[in-house]
Amino acid sequence: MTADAAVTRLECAEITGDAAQLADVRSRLRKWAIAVGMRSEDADDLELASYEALANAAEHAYPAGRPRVDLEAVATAGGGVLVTVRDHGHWRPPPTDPGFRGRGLGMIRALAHRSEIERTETGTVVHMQWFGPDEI
Amino acid sequence: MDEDAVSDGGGVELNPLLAAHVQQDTDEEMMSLTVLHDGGAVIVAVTGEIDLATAASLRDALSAELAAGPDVLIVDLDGVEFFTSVGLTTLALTQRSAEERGVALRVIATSRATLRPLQITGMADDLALYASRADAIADQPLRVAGALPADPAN
Repeated sequence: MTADAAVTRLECAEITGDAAQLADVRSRLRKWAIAVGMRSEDADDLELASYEALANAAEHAYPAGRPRVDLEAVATAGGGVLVTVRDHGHWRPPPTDPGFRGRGLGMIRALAHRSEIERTETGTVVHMQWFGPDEI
Repeated sequence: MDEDAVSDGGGVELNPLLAAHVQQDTDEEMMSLTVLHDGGAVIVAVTGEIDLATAASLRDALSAELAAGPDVLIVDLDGVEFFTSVGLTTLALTQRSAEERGVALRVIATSRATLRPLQITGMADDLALYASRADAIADQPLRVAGALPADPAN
């Protein structure tokens, strides 16, 4: 179920972390995911996981100053979707009490079929993947 | 949504005609709250999105209701379409405050949008979840294992 004429790539650069903007990005992402043929429930999971990645970047990577987060989503030939959320701040690990602040990353791990988090000197990159019907 | 008065809930009766009804729109209507008071029970019904933009308003509203010292605080998430980790944090903090004050916190969650975040984070095990207002008032908890329909409509 590939997306013939649908745009197979969605880029949202320089997201500032403004709450209304995050809401706009995640709803655009969900519409895009449906347009490229993603199942509705997977699109829900993708929307939520991507929001958590964006919110995490905006909240944790920028204790001071203006966040700048980039999101890229790509539809694969097999009907899957890859989402990358990249920030340019310093990684701040979740506090030791995971009960109250650390749930976003746990949700990303549970919602995506595969996920990977890279922490580098220049920022954090969250990769999330949802498999398509031909990729399992 | 079942608005019928319920009489088997330990003496707590809800009559929508008598209930104090407060509607408050916040954050460009991304979330709205309706608060019903009846005797010792308070129901806060939430519709819309619980995210970074709205969670603080919800937290404030729930704190205010807890401070009034009801016997039971019911948070009705039936109308919530998008429920994020900051919403889970809000519930966890409310749960902690409720325990400190001796208030029974009961949460109504029926949709995939609300149950899925609660389940994948394990919070469904820590909260008292209900399938309807009648069940919440009567203290008939949801059995979470079978809570998600096999093929939810949304």
